[in-house]
Amino acid sequence: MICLIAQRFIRDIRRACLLLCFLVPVNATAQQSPSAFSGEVTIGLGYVSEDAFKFGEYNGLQDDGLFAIGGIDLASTFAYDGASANYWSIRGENLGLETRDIEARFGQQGTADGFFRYRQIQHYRINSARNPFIGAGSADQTLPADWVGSNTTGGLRNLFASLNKREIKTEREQFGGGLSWLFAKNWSISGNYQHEKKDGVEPMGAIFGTNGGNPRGAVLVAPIDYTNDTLDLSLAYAGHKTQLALAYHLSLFNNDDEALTWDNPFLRLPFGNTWARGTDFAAGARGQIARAPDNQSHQVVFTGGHRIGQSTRVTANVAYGWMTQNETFLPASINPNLVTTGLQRNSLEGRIETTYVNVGFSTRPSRKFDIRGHYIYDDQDNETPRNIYQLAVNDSAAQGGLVSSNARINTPYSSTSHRASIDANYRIRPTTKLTFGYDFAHRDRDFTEVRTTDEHTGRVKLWSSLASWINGWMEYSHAERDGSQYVSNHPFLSGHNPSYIATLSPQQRFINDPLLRKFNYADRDRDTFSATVNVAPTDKVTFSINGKYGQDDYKQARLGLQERDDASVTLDVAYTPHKRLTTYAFVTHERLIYEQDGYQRAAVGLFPGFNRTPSPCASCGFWNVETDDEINTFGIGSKWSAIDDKLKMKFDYTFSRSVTDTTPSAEPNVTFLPLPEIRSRLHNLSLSGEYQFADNLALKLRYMYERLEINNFAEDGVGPDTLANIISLGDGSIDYAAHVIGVSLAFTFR
Amino acid sequence: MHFFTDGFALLGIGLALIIAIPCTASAADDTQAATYADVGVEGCLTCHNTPPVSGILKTPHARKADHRTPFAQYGCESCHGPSREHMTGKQVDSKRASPKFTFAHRSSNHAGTDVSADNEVCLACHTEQNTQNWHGSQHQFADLSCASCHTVHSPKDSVTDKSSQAETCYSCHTEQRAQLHRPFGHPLTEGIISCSDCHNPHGGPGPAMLSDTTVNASCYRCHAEKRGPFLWEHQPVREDCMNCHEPHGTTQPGMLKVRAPFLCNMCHSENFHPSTLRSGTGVSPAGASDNLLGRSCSNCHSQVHGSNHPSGTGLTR
Repeated sequence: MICLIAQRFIRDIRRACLLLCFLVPVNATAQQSPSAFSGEVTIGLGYVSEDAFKFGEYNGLQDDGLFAIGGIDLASTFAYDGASANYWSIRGENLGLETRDIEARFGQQGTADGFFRYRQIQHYRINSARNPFIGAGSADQTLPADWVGSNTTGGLRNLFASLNKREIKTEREQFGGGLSWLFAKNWSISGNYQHEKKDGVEPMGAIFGTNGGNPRGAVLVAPIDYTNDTLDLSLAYAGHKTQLALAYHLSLFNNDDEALTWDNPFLRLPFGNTWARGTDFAAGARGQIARAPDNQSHQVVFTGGHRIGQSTRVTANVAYGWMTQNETFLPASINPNLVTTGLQRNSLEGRIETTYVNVGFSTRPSRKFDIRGHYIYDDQDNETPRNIYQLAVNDSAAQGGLVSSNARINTPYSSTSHRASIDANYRIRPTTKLTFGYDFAHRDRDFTEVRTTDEHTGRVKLWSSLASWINGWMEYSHAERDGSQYVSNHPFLSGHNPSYIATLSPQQRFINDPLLRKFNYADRDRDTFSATVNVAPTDKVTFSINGKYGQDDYKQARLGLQERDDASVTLDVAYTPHKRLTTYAFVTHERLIYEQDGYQRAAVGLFPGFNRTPSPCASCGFWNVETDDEINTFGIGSKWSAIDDKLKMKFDYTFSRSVTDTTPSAEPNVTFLPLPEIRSRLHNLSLSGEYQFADNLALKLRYMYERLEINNFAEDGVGPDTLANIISLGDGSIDYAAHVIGVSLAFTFR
Repeated sequence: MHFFTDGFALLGIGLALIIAIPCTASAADDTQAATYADVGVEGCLTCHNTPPVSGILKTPHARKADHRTPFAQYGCESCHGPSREHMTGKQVDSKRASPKFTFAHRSSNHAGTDVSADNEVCLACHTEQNTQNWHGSQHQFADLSCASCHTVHSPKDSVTDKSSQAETCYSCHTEQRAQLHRPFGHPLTEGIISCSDCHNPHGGPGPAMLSDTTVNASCYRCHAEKRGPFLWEHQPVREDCMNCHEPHGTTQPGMLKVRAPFLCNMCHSENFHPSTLRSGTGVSPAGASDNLLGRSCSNCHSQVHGSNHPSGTGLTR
């Protein structure tokens, strides 16, 4: 009976595919071989044992219960000496899940090609979130009519009665297609278009409060309703010596939600009034947060390469682009009584122009030498106009005056970098070579503490195949980055109204601690050593060991990141006892250590400036935190063709264990306690088998097991009212063990 | 206005450059052609008629109707080189003479060995746009051969399939393999994306062989909502997403390199709460710190990628 059904199914599939042959516009029916197509169609059923969003985060298996298995992989066949170059193919994966991906290709090889694609990509994040807002996930969220406000979460009497379960997830749906045409010898033109729609929700912290000392807020379930249309066009010439291409890339991003508006669940500031929607904060008692604005990106790219003689090639990549954003501004506050002054402009007219030039050469002046060099110019010119914006802080205070700390000027960051590099290989022997390399990078920035940085990097690498059974390499590199004078208050001076700055003493013209050095442009020494040895004692066994150690030393930073150490070692083993059986195993041990310093400062120590002598407060002092990640990853697997073309089996198992140890220490004035470790353990086992029990029919079985357990003090036991000032989603910790079994039939076409 | 000036000006210059280049297609080398056995594919199939060698018959290379393919030129000898001695059974060192190019697979056994001659065979035809930066790329300079990654005789070259591509990359990039098995990473192990969605292994214009010119340009492909420009920019975000994120995977949610608030504290030591040491005093049973637990700094500063709200300078709006 099953065979009869299968035969009918095969017949129907053949008919469907033959119909497709008629539909494709390039005479795909002209096939020479007896069978017009080959491949397989898979149908079946699967079962997931557990509801676990983290397990199904991307794979579509987030819900327990049955799911459909569906796949298609068919392509036209041809005879190598046939007269037609027409072809078509259709491939579909995960057809029974929300991660389906279907692509059809067709064309005449060597002349024209086309494709259509439909794809879903999901991201399931949290399935145990709870939130009291009506309309959660929409752009307008309110609290129930019987809501009782309070100064802290502990006093929100109806909080738990108002909670509703929320699923935090997004889905991308993409469809598109493209055509390319070789319209003359070596010349081609192509165009691809894709429309993407992204729907769903994400967590978003949203607060009221006039400063960092009195925030009251909630983690909202914010809507995501994006579209992104992309278009890529190119004209290319691909000759034997010379290749050139001109391309244009367009991306139009649209967000249907300009803003998210929500009720304040807490009492107004200063605290004391009874909560009643619409009566706090003078008028409104509502907050409004901006969502990602619509934006556009355009880029014109020219690429070219030319061979000079037999051993020299020059390349150029030149790109000019512009990113724009001109969404109409929201008001300074949604509560009208807090708004005293209009905005200086209605929209940003934001524009960043990007210019990128990468020119390079590679040459082999002799059999012993290879040389390559690159020069890269990367300019991000942010032409967004600058204006003064008078803040109505967090919809909780009246707009600041023009001469006040709440009159801020936007700082559209620009940067320009020049990088030059040269590397040379010298072949000491046919199987041994030495590589020397040098890079120089110069970068200019604006509105930042450091205007320019220069970095020099030198490296040396030895490669060798000592014998036919052993080879490897080792590399050492050293880099030094130095910047111009670190002007700690440059962001402060750039971001405030000069009239306000003039009212301050020089010692008051700071935001950040003057001893801090931001790691992305602080002076830094970087050393990296890495090595690999590959050993193949027999044809059947190979061993490989790879090690790496890197250190970043932020030598001038009294505060901020001090040092980063990165060490890893990996052992790989592969054993292939015979052609039909391959096995592998690997283990990786990694350590990542970040060491940072800070200086705790209470409000009483604010002024003058950042004076520490004498100690400005009883709880002030230097502190240090070391974050130490230790990660071990182990994997083992095998592929076995037990019976040629009949029975295939595969298994893979990986285990990853991480421990993050965060260790604080401080001067006696600063109170601290140790932090708990953050631990994760991830097991993943996959077993699959395929048995070809009839000429055109195969049985496929798959079993998958995944267990993930994360102990994270920041999430474990943190409920909606755990934090005094923030209603959290209470999403809890991650701990699941999911089993998946799948049975399917593959109808094979040869 | 800029669109019509700078953009189209560059477009015009590029077009002019391209059109000005004469067609310089390769011509068959007659001298070399004289040494071909010229027995056709059928001559080779007399012996090499079983998989995996015969698998090439199901690949685009084996299509005579496409004049560009090896099969439309000298058959197997188009790639393996003139092989008259091999065909006639000439003995060299007591073995049958090999074809000129045998393309031994070199995954990790390539150290120091020159493979450029093998690669030039492929590059003689594969001059398309995505291989233009091969020469001078990290992979070329590290003596990777095309056969290190590609299996051209297989009807399904696994490195071109997104679900199996990473296995090939992992054979050398063991550090990234370990990172991608961490709890928080991009969906590569699930087969949703592949290494080549961001990187061009044949050499890209950007750092780390990215297909795009910069790290951020790569990220904006999928995360266009973070592109801006925003009214209130967060400088390290605009400069490089990798200042905070490790895209291959980390132990922290959001692929952050270090958990907040400590990540934020690396740059923020302002007065009031940013300078305060967060420790076990903010964890149960000693306490419950708004600045440490839950989403930490993002409990309030949720717009860390930039805000377009007129009052959003603190990245809370």
